[in-house]
Amino acid sequence: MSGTSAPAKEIWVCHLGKVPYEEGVAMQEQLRARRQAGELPDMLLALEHPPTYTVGRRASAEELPFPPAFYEQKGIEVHATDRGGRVTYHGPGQLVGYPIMAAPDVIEHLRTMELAISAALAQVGIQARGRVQDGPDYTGVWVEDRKIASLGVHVSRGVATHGFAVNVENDLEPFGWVVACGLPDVRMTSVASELGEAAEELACFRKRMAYAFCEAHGARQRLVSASRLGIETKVAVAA
Amino acid sequence: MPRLSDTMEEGTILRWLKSDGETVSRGEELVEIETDKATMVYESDQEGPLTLIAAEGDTLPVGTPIARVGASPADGDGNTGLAQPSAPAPAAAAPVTAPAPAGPEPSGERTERVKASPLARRIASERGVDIAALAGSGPGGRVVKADVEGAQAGATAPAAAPAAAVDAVATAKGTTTDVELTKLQQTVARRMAESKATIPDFSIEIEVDMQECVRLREQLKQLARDGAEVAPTYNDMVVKACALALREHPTANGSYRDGRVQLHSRVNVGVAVAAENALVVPTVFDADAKALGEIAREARALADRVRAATITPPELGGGTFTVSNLGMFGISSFAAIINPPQAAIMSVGALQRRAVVDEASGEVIARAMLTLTLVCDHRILYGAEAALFLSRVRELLQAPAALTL
Repeated sequence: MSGTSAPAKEIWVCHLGKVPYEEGVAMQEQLRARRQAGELPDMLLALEHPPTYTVGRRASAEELPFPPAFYEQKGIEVHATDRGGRVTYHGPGQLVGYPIMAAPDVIEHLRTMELAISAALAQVGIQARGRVQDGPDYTGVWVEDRKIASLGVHVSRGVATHGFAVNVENDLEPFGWVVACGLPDVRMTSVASELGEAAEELACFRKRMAYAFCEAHGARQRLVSASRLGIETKVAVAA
Repeated sequence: MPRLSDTMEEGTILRWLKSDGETVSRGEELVEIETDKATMVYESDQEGPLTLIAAEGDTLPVGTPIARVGASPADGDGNTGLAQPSAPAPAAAAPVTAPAPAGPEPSGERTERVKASPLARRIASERGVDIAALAGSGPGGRVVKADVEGAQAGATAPAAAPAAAVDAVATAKGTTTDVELTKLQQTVARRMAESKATIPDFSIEIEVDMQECVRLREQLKQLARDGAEVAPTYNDMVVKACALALREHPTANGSYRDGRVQLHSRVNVGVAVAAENALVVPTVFDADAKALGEIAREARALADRVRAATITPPELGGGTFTVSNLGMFGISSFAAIINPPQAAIMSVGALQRRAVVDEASGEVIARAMLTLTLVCDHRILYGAEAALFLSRVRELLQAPAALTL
């Protein structure tokens, strides 16, 4: 699928816990450089962010329609980002996955993420799917007309950063305070709101998701620690 | 526009990382391109001065030149800007595009910088239509089959209609300006279309004698003058009357969602406010439990905040019913569009003195009348229930003491 034909292809998976958004960006840039240099193999970082809106390059000001003081009062940070897509929300209880890997075909990369997420959701009993036929604004994973996962990536010198965010047990209300993904009125959903009491926790789902991701790439998962990636210490936040 | 993926059809120039005229070297990052939800940095495979063709924000089909590396702009070949398949070019001017495997144009038929579908090109060449002279109606001004056929129809039109049909159509409405919708307007457009297209609605209308409300309002105005308070408007009274009646008729306060009826424990009445180029519906929460004066103060504050654009999302959500009023424009009655997933919307007309027959004397007298129109979603709210609800609202407005409790 992504070039290498060796059957023993591995993706290194690292669970990082809670990471502030800017720290996550710095971490990705560092790992991307090492991936580009061939020092590291393909990787998937699994983590959570504190409440944050991230604004893609193509977003317009109206997509954050309320006064900055409102978001501040709600304790939500706002960050610009270089990934594709418009505005989205990240917060505790949402599984964020950053695959830092060679992506020879970027759209293929997005579609594979959609398949992997749908597969992980199917395992917990949620019928979800991508909506390629509805156009680029509908990239992501949907349960009927409700969006459960968002995607956005950036590719530089053949290596992708950023990735996906699956709503597992996060508060969905903040999505309503912005025009999420440039689509007014998209109804967001989460594993918890689809399954209610029966939903599994983020801690379980993130393992399932990482496994499904590697499987979709025809690769074996290898769990590694942050120190193995050389990011055990706090990454300096880029000025 | 380089092909960044086999399935990519078009891309958007997000940002030029080099400026026009700058000299770039092989492998340097030139431009950020977005396709689907991926941003990709594209590197130069040539060396030399950069000439930009496409601007930031442009969305172009794969194969369209976006820049040139290595030729001076004055170069004779430089202006063609063809989407030639960029074989490792020994030529001085190498347009920055990627090989487009399923090349959009048959190579013999290239016309300068004209975007056209392969079919349109073929028809044009068969019929001898100059494709460069056509205004494309496809995406991004692309010339499509219909444009070629239209042009030919115009050209071969009988002499009785000397002006080309194409022009006549274009000018029949004078000059047309396209105005993009704001995000808010897009939301309104989408929700209203969804409402009309999916809700089996019906409307019922009732005449309300507002004599007692007029009297009540005079008294409240008197009080307001003394205490510097805001006197409730007739609309506030309608809001309060609706809220009390909604408490007694839970289906009118319900929602229709995914094949189910949802009943809500709170009665939250949205009051439609016309803002600049938009329609916003702030919510008076628990309107059934609030005093009339409280509703008046709140509704006024919310409307002010809508106009000042300082309204916040929690104040716009959570409505279980909507009241819309066009009375201030002298409209006697109208039927508003249901705000989904709510069960109904109350449309309030103007308070007008009308001739009515007095019940007791049988004489025609002038009374202050108001027409209320209730538009209902028949999936939840049926005719009889709706009628009971609406007549209860009338009852409350005709004996408004209950509103002041």
